[in-house]
Amino acid sequence: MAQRQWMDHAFWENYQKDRITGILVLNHDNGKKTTQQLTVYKFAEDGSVNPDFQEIVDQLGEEKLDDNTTKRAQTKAKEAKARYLRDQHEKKQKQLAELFDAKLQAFEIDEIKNSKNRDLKSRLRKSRNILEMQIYAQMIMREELGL
Amino acid sequence: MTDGYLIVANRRPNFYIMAINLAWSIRDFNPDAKICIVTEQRFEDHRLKEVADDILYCDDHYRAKLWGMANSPYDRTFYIDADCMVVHEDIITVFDHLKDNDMVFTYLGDDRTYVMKEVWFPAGRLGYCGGVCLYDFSKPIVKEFMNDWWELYCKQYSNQWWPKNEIGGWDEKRYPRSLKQWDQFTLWWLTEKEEKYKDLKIEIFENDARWNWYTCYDENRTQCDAPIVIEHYSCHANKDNAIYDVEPE
Repeated sequence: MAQRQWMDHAFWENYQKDRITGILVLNHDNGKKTTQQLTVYKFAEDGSVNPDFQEIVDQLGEEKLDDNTTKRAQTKAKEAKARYLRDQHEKKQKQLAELFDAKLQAFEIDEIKNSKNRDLKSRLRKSRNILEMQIYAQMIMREELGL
Repeated sequence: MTDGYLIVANRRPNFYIMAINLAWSIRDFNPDAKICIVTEQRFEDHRLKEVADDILYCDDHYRAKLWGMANSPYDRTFYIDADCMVVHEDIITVFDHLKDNDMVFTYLGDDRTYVMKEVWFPAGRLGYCGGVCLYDFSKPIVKEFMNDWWELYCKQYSNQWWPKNEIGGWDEKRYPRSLKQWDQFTLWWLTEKEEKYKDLKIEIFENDARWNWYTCYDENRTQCDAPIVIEHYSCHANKDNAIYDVEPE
């Protein structure tokens, strides 16, 4: 019969506190050790209390589970924020690079390349998004083509 | 005393296009600026003379920028990498930052190393960033420095020079050969190891990130306390897929 020990960072999966995720360590008689991550429900299908669930609560105590759950939520929130900032940064970088390339391409269009309207060309160069850039590119094109 | 901007664009047609764009972006804020473009003759079109006051022709050397810097027609020169764009009016104040220094750089600080390919090596750390450089070319020592930077880099790149170890061989342990490609390493060597240049007055721009803001910088990790003046697109710019093609010679 293997000895069962729940590692002490198990946490509540939900606010109802009827679901716990933890890692169960089994120390087998032959000296081998196995670990498995489990999510256990408080109630079995017949309505009885799941002995695994009760075992975790008994071993770690509700206070420890509460504490682990709070810490885990904080870590997750921090990770989510970092991920969000990283994604925003990557998005912004991509937009900037695309804008830069688009401006260079616009200035390679003959009508824009040869236009003497420095004011519009300057505005095109200074534009901070693709839409603004396209508007100025169009204005130059219309002027050059006499439309 | 002439003040002027220096841009070098060679090897790839896109650099030429970027250089023209950069030059006009300087003029957007400083219409009377003196601008020198160093480029290969094969790239030249009507735009070059429209925007540049001075034109120097170079070859297709990997770091022709150093040759360009060593041949600036201006006394006080502000070199800017071609894949940059000026985005703020403070560009007109740039020469004020030279003060009585010989050179002014931006710095590869610890809050920026995450975008750099190679900064640390066993014998030291690359510090000054060559993306922009403000220098007083009226001083003979600076002229000499710029020439040495170019010449030593050529030797470094063509395997004719490398720091020596105690038995006279190349010291690849303290100076890994992967550094060979970087002109910043040559710069490091000259400023850190060359006796002749130990008294050079080299300064870092105040709020330096704004003078060479790599667009791959993460604002959450890299501090910039004032509006960005120069955006540097070296991490992202389309250098390889030609925006237009130049027929091979």
